[in-house]
Amino acid sequence: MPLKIVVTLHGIRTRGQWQKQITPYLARHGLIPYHLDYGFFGVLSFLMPWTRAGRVQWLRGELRDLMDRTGATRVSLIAHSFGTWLALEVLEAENGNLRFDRVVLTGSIVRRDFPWGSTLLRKRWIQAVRNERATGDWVVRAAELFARLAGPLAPRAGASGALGFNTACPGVHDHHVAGGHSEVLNIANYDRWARFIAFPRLPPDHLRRVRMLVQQIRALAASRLGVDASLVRANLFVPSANALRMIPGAWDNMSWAPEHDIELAPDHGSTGRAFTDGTPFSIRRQGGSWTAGVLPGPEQARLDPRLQWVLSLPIGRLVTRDGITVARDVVAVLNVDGLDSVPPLLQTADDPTLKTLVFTLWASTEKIRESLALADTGEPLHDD
Amino acid sequence: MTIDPPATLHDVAEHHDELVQFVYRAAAAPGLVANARSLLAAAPTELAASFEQAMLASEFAS
Repeated sequence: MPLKIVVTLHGIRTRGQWQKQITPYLARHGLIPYHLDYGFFGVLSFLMPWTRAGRVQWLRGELRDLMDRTGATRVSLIAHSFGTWLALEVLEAENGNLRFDRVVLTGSIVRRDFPWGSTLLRKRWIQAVRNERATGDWVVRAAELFARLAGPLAPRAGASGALGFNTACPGVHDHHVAGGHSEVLNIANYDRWARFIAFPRLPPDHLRRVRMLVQQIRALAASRLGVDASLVRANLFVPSANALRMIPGAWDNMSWAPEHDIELAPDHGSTGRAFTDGTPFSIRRQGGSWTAGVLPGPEQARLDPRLQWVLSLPIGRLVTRDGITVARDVVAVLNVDGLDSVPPLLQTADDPTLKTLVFTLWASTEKIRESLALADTGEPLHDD
Repeated sequence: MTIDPPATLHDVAEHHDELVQFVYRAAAAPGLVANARSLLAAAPTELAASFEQAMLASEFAS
């Protein structure tokens, strides 16, 4: 899983002291900070369209340069106040040439009807957003008032940093506190922002619990399939940057290193089908090869040559749809797979014993789903 | 492991070449859940708790 670069961007009438303070929190979660500073920008400058436009051009150049030099296809972002407006103006101006990974907005003056549905879900210009707002933030309300009164000279601004967005979207997470414009820049929030951006890499608390459940599911599968546990493995795939990838460390007995970097299209193989269809799938090796076309060549070459079978369990909320049990809002796929030979039970797909076992393993992933959902928003594990 | 006959369905698997899809019809849920619980009886408590949480959150509670 590639390392993530986190651009930080301050607001007006400040040089962003918080940008320096947040560095160790980002580092703790394996993130690479890149602090941008456009100098002291006063209220008068904010009111002038040409000075705002100048800062938009500056940020476009900075981000293009950063991505050219690092080879990153996306960067994450933490922005405050005017920085939030700048970042999303640049995103819209670039019209798909720039893509953000995960974005934290603090004291946001982005307009409240920002089209998250089209930029976030459909075009995937952004993967996810955490909007950190303070309900008593008069600065962002003043920005919205100015945007209303100043007519064509006004920025497309709004009080999303106080009132939130009115365009609900699954990838936009709202968090609010009582207080004013700088209240959200509270050091107590920094670890959560770093966790949010690091996802799908899991912080230690979630990783411990997820790994324990993955181990237990693997052990139960091995025991019920009558297979030596050393020949059974387990791993967890999540969507990340347009592919399904393994969460580092959230695996058990995965000793074939090339597999750690496998990238699957969301409809490839049993993993991809489980992800898209929301039901368990299994696949097994027959003769010398897997089903033709199940995986593209480079990914097929990364598989452990001893791999003989895979059971893919979609992780989501179990619901009934058209009389069939499916996982809804699938967030991940847990694969239990095995080496050297296919257990006899797996060769009889209609055997009720196998069906019960698969259902048991599938439903037992619920606490993994819960942890992934919390980690996706940056929240720590709550006590059971 | 004992399988309660009402929990079994003979049309729950669909084959797509070598891919097998496990399809669970809601009508079988009560027997299926009971069998799953018996299978989890000797499993670690965390795993059983995870299963029960899924049952509470889903429409299978019985």
